[in-house]
Amino acid sequence: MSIEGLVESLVEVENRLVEVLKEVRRFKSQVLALENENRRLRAVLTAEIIEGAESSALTKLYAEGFHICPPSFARVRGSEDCLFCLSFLEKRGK
Amino acid sequence: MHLTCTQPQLYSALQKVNRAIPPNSPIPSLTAVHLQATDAGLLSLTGTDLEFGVSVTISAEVFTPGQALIPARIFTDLIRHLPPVELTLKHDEAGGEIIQISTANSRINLNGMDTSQYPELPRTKENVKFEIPINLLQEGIKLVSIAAGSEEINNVFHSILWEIDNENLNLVATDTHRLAFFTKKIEKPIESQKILIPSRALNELVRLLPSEQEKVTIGVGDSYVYFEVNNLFLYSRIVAGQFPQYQQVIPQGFNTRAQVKTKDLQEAIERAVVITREETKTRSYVIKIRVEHNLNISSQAEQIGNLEENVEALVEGPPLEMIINGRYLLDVLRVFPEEEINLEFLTSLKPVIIRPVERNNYFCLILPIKTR
Repeated sequence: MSIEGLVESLVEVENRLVEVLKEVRRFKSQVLALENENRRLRAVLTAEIIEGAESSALTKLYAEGFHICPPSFARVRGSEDCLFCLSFLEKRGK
Repeated sequence: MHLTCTQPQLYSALQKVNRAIPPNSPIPSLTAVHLQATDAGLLSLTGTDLEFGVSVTISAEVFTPGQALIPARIFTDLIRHLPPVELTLKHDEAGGEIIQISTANSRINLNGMDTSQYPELPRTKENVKFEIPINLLQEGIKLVSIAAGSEEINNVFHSILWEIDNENLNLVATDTHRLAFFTKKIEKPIESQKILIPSRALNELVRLLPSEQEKVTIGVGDSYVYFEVNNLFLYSRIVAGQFPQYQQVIPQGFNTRAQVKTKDLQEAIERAVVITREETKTRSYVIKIRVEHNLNISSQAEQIGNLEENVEALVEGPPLEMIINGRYLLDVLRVFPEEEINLEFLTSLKPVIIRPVERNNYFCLILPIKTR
């Protein structure tokens, strides 16, 4: 391949990369928007469920490995206990 | 741009700025260091990953002001390998983004990048500006950052809560299994504020702040916070989200308290953790603490063996047993500068509070493990 041809190909690759980067930025802003929307919906859901739910339902949800505390409601908790979920359950139980 | 500066100054600045530069990024300009030379005889070097940024200014003899964007890794490696002499940085006379680095005996041409692609640091958008002693900040961040999470999905738990209520600075971090709290009175009352700063940025701040200086200037904007001292400027994104009501999880009072020497307990827990670490996947460094006349520490792992140790303690209250993650306890004991600490227990299922005997402005609490 001649030098001119090589430069042309590189310019083409560069242009494609610029397009890909634009796409990545677009995806990134969409992810951020979705994350914000998710946070807002989670807050609404948390308020609704916590208002209406029986303590036993929340205890069950917690035992199944999900957070029930407002900051992390419905997220997977793993095997370790959560300070805020336990405090929340205790308050509900009183 | 055309200037001269010394290799040690430039290399030292590059080392600091590199803390904020990602090795790879979908935005290529972020993998570069930004140089800005001014008529005032100053050269500013900047690095950022957009979440967190560092800028360091050094003195230079500036012949032609200007700016350049140079791939950080290769630039730093080259400067590191140059002798500690005066060096010249200048744009290639043929134009373009090529930067010439020269000393008496060597000349290097490096391909730079388009400076217009580089983001501007949020330097002048603060709503509140104030000063805080550096040692207070360093101490507080070091003590609480042990409890900040590293693997949680929720960004709130990767952050440190920065809370100023007129005359106290409170720093709080939690990963939902433990929580660390630090408070200190500040000399001058400051406007109340509550923000979340990524613990990574604050840990870098501790590393970069010059210990010989007394105070750091802090500016808080809508979405960024910055820290400035002499020639160092560091900024971080403020995390969006609600930090949990942490006061609700702090036990009030205690039934059993054990006063122990920090080092004695640390050494015993180090050994107990060695036994349990082979079973970490299922058992989270499980150790048992029995408080009676002394502190009895035990741990076991089926395939490895078991350990039991007594640590001398001054105990008040009824006997109590608690199962706890030994790694969490070690994290606390390793950062405690005090010789003696108190372990305060309400019940065997409530969080244990660990605090220094001699002062009451810091504590860490750890949630016990329930045996099923």
